[in-house]
Amino acid sequence: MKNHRYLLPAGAFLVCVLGFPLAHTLWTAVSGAASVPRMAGDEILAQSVRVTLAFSLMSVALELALGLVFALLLNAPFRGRGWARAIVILPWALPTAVMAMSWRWILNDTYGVFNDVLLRLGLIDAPVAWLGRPETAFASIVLADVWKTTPFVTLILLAGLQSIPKDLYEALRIDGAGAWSRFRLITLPMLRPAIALALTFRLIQALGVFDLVWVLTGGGPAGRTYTVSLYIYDNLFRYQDPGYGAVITVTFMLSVFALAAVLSMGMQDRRA
Amino acid sequence: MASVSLRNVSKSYDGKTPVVRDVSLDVPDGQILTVLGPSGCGKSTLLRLIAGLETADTGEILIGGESVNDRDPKDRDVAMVFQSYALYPHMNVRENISVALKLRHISAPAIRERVESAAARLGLMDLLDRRPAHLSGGQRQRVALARALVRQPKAFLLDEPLSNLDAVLRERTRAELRLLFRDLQATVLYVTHDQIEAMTLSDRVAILRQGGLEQMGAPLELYQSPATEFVAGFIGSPRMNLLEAACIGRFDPHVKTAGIRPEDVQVLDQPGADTRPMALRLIEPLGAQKLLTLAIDGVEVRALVALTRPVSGTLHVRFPADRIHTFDAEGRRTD
Repeated sequence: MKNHRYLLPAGAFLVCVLGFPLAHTLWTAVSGAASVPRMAGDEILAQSVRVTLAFSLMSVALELALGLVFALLLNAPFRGRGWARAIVILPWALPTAVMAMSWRWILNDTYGVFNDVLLRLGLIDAPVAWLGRPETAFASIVLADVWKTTPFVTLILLAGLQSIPKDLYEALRIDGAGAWSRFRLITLPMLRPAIALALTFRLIQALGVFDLVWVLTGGGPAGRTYTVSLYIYDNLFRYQDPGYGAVITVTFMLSVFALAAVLSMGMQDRRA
Repeated sequence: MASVSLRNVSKSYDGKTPVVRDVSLDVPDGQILTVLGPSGCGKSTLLRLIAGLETADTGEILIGGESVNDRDPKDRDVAMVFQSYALYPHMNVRENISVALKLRHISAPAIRERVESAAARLGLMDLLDRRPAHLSGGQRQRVALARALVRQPKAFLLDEPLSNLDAVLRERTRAELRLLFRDLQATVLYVTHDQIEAMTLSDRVAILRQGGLEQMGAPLELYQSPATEFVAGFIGSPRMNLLEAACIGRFDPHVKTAGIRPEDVQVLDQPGADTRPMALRLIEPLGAQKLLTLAIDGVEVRALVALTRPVSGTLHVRFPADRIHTFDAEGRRTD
């Protein structure tokens, strides 16, 4: 029991960086409690929730699908596999702001390499302002997010794949299974905990997305990429309304907690 | 059930070191062949070649008289019990046993009947809804066996199926396996490094050494007339004494090594015809018998005597000529 004192430095650190801001936010929310009913009629909030959900669902779904494909490829034996695994992780290792800035340049209508390539291929006749048009701006932030975080999903799923004993596949081959049956009967169910883990991490991150959108589109055009985090930021710093900002923050946080709790139930290892 | 045959089968993983070297053997329909050898002798690879998990570099593998070299594991119709059991952890016992039948599109009522008959036979009826994680080692082993039985395959391949069980359970399961396979009249290839399993379970034993077949025959045949020095030293416990031929008075130029089993060494208190005196070094009681280690001039000989026989100091040892096995410089039996 007396050894608990060794937890003091770590505990103090957590209180400072997590406990204090959390308590402060809760306190601010309590003082702004009068603005709770405002949320119901807030059209901008409703719009930002729709954008955030659409962004999260689309990007996470794409990341899971692509991540699974990459993980399966990287799990297969081939020459140079170690290098391939190292390279695949690179996009994820970049700071989000830096890579968002790069995407902004890539997608730039006048100087962007993306337009250049499409023009040369003859796929478009004139440069497109990808980040300036409502329909393509949303697709662009999904694309950038998928590009950056698919490696993270790949890594988790690859670890999951590697933990599946090889002899299970051999036993199933002898039991009469072809490649698809082996995937369906062993890979997918055994990968369930890893998939649930990746899903939880990614959904929580995606729902709170800020930096990527902030740098890439700033929430525009016409609010088409305006996420909840951006709205919270604006309430706190632009509209000088910390009470309402904190109320949204706490509501949002509780929703994400609930979601994480549901997902973690799916994460339970069925082997146990 | 069907016969299994190998014709000059070789396998190497790196193209240089052979893991299986030119092995030919036959398991007639309904017989149990044990493949016995030390670790790394290629016996598991041999089994994997038959199952189709590995491809032979050369040679032919026949199941039921048909060449199966080009067939996938799923089309070879053999069942395998893995050393690790390889139970599917996310499926319960019933699902584990029925997977192979489902993959073969057998009707649900037929699956149910066959699964339950296999489960009943192995005493698993009360465990059908459990996951492997909630089973004991012995129960898992029986599930692995049931999974193989339910298939009604052409042959069973068992890879050290008892090595993860404790001694008591291993002995009991060994006897149960023998009865089970006799009832089924099953064709079985059984890989083990345990010579007692090999001796008690099999109709015939094949001894593998560095990927090559050293000797194949009935268990007692191997014990009574080992074809090579390796087999002589490998079969039998305590191990056969293997000595320079000259040490037991053999001066035949063709004979390099002479072997005599500890139970065949005669130990006398008084000198007699053809005896030599040896000093008693060590006594190891084994139960009904005790194992003596005797030495003279740097030569050590081990002898088994009754536990009650009093021994001390210098003893007089005789090696009966008809009990001596002789081997040439290549380790081959000379008679």
